[in-house]
Amino acid sequence: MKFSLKYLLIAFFLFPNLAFGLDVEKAKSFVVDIGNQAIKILKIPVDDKEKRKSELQNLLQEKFDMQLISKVILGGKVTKTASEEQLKKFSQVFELHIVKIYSSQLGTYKGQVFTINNTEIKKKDAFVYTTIESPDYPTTNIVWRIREKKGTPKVIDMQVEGVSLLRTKKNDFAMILDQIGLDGLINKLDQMNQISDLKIPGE
Amino acid sequence: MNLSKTKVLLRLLILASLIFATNCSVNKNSVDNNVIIDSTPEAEDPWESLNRGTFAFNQKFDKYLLSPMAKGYRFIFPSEIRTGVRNFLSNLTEPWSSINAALQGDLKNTGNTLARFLINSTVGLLGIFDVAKEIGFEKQKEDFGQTLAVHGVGPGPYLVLPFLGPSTFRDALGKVTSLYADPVTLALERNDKDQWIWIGMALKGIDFREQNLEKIDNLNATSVDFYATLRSLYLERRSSMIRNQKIDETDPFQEFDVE
Repeated sequence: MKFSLKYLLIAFFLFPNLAFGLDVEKAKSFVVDIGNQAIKILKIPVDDKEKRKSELQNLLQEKFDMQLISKVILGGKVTKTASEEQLKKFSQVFELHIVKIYSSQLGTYKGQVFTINNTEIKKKDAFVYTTIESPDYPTTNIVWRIREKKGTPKVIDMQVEGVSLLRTKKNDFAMILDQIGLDGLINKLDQMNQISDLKIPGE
Repeated sequence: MNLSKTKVLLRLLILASLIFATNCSVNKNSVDNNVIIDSTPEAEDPWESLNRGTFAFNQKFDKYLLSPMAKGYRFIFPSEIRTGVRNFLSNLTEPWSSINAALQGDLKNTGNTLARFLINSTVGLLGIFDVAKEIGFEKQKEDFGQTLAVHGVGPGPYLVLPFLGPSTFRDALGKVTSLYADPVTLALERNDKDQWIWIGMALKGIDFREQNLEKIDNLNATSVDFYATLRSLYLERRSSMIRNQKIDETDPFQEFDVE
């Protein structure tokens, strides 16, 4: 018993990432799934905006840790003082906000090929480096930051051409949070979510 | 001729002294084992109220002039012609990119940009066709702001330039320097064709706006604070360019600690 415990401890220190169960292959196949789902969304006709939005929302709910992302974007100071109800409301409006952003930025399918180039594990997160290539557009580099939540991998940030979703939204919300607080931000996002569908590039 | 050369040298010296006289701190450890550590995303915005004023002006300029011109450009010219114009203008930036790649000690990209210029200027019919890309020479733009960053010059304060948009003090100096050192610009000046420098810049602006018509408009519509969103996008994108997108060699999230 002592013998196996000793080896278990050695294994734990030698391969700390194993303790979290997130390995390179698991992270890779998780991102491949996302890529396939995203290509399917691109292939939905632009006229069917409702379907594009609902598929995107499914993707977010299934593959992204929206709860953690929301908390990080609001920052420790706000999350500590906010009520459960406020945080829940923010999560809801923020999710719709992200759907609005990406359903208008995703574009249409023009032979895009999604490739995984490299994966590395740093501390408890996996970083998956991917590219999207298309004859009509310049190559886009995307890095996915993956963390395991209750045994399931989840995206906690994505960096498109060096620009982090998390950092951009955190900066976008900083001033309004400072000036009119979380309720003000929730109201603002709620209003913005009501605006009519935006024109999709390539539409 | 000698007088104009002295003037250029004097201007460059003034620029160099300005770099060190401002907040563009020099970090000697920025290039360590070919890994570029860059602090651009942490650039501060001490002139925010002035910047927001310039930003508001640029928004008006975009609404009433740039965006309508970009829409007209898209309406009148088919995409093949627009791509040709974009490639032609882009090809003219290759010599300056090559010089900057050399100044950064990046011999591979120095050769790459030179090869691109030679191939596209000849086989690519004065740069209208990007033949070099087809045979594996990918474009990698380098400018003087990036060169300064690679040698450890910090971004300095964030700046919004009239008409040109987001920048930093360092990158703005880089832009000004290119007016006095870019071989294509100098050749045009020497032949008294200065107007083409400004026509080229205007065309580049219209082409960029045309390429990003929906993206920029949608970004504006989905931003709570469009000024802050663009600042964040610019600083992070610039940092990625400075690091030549070698994201697998550094932490792409640049010490951004998720709680």
